[in-house]
Amino acid sequence: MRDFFTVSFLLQLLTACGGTLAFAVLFKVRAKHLLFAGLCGALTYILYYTVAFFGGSLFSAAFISTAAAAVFSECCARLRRAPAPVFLVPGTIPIVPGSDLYYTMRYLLSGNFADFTQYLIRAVLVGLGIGGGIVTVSLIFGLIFNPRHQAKHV
Amino acid sequence: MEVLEKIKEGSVTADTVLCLALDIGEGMLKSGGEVSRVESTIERICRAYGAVHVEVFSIISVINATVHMADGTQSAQMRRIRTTGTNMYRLELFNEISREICQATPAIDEANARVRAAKQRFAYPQWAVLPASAVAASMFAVFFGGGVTEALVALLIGALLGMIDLLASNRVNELAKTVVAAFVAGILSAASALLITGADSGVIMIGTIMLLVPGVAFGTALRDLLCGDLIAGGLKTVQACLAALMIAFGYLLSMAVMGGAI
Repeated sequence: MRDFFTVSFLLQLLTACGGTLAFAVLFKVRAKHLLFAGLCGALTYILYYTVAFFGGSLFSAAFISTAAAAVFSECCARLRRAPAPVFLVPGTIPIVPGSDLYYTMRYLLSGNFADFTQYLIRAVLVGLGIGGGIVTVSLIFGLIFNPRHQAKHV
Repeated sequence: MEVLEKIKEGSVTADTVLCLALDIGEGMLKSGGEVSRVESTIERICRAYGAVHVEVFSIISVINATVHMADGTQSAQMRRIRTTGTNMYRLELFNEISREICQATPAIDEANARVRAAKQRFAYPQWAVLPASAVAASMFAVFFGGGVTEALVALLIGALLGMIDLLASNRVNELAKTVVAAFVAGILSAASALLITGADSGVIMIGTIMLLVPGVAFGTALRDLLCGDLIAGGLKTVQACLAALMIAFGYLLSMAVMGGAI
């Protein structure tokens, strides 16, 4: 069994958090919400790593971590009186499939179509996981807090 | 009823109410608010000022709305939205204004003044894009396995991409900007691998394209689609796919220039 807490995991957690904060500034999240946006990014990455570590598929890792981030954002939104995307949009950045997209392009260029398809599918699966996680939580929160206007205001 | 009294004063008409609601809706849409949020905000504001019937249809580039007031007057207006971005500070401000309007229904002039003021407010100075994109690129270069060298090179390229974004701001086509940014990132990361022995151009490239990848856009597009906003979601999906294609195109161009160096 591999170790859960490896140096590379801690380094990735640290950079995921820092990257989320930098993106939060790019997305103009105001300074008083930055801490919570960063926490949301850390939460997303920890869960993504954990699910993948225990053998979960790429899709389920993305789905579960995004759903958790969405719940966290909805709670932050209610506690801090700000729209949920303020926390959710930067919070999902660490699992955006940037490297998969890069390898997709790279293998397309080199004409290696087997690897090209594999990485394309990986990127799409993670994308679907992110979208699915957001939708699921949005629907549930819509039913609980806003039964007349279902699925509004993520 | 308070609202009815204001209608008698003459300041609240179907036109002014709908115009105010559309100003706020437009502000939200331009700041990256969801279509469903925009639609329900416009409807709530109109109802707060005494509208009896409101119809709103919004996609990412157009808001269409009709309002019927209690006295039988009506108004139909449309807004064309040409640029959208992600500005969470503005979104929050407009959300706040809309919440206060629904609770207190201030005079139309007062509400209009608040909307104008919100459009003048910035969370960060414009140059903050430079350090933010530099740090973001270097963080993700390390995240995807880079070392100190890769982090430093990504820091520089990230700052340059921030500069491109700052200079091009609203005057340049969004997709063209993506192609140029991906091209510059591709050239520079390949060049860095040639100049610095042992530097991994792939990791640098991944770190810098994280700034361009429409990952979040794809997620929200899917959300809109599955929540029933088919047209808005469909358009957003097309937008995200085009952005991804443009990244690939810019990268391809840089490959053509740099040969097999990448």
